[in-house]
Amino acid sequence: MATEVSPASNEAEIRKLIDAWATAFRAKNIDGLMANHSADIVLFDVPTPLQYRGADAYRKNWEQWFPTLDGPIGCEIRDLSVTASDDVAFSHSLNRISGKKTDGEAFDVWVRVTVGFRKIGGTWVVTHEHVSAPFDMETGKAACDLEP
Amino acid sequence: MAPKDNTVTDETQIRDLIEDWADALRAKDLDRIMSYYTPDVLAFDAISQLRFVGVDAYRKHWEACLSMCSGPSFFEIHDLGITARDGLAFCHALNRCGGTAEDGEEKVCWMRMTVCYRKIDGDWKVVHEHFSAPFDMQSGKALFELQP
Repeated sequence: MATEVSPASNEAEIRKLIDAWATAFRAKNIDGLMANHSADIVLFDVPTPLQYRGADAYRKNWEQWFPTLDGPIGCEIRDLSVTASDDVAFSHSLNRISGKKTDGEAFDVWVRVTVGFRKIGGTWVVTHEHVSAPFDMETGKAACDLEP
Repeated sequence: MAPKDNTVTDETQIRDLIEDWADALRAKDLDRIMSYYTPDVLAFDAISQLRFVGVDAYRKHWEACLSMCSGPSFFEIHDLGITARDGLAFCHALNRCGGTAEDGEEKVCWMRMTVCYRKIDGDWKVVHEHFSAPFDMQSGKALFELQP
């Protein structure tokens, strides 16, 4: 019952897709961010709500956030792990997101990212994304200052 | 048609596994909870740290979590979505959990859960999981009372 996972080509394709996503993210390019996402994506993001369902909700999330930012966004992907078979894949990483808000306030935070992929019609698509920060039990607030 | 049948079987296996794991959690049975993870599991939990690497570190964290809720508690899984094929699987769900505090007040919280599995020697094992609550970006507070 040895299961053959992580064939090199599938893993390489997923890594390329994550790279493309990060490039689009840095440039605040919403169409680029949506390029490989499923119409029925389920997103758990750092801010409320509890979940976004569907590509339209996913797009709205970006449309609300990007105008509050000044200039490009920094995105460093650390400790990326990709596990892929021929049809299913998942990845996780720690992403450092930095930039400046339109009110001049700078931000620089680490978030945890888990992504689920499916190969549909020969192409990998993102069907699930989970992005979060842990919270501090003492203050009940997001612990965005933790570093790996 | 064989692959399709396998997919159904895989999904059913993952669904059963999640139910078993949830039972172990309700029973606060630490050994049983830990039996679902691989030795090199990497976890992003909702509290305290960015990540937990390896089953020993994660066990310590689970132990601390279980000791926080000593009274009667409940744990439900909602909106479960499973993708499983070729020895790899991932799922996402919204968990409703809570318990009764010493003053009799019932505390309820909703959390997002993503779990990634690999089939190893015929058994599905958790290689990665991610729990979180979203934040209110104005106050920076974690919001556990949000409902789907």
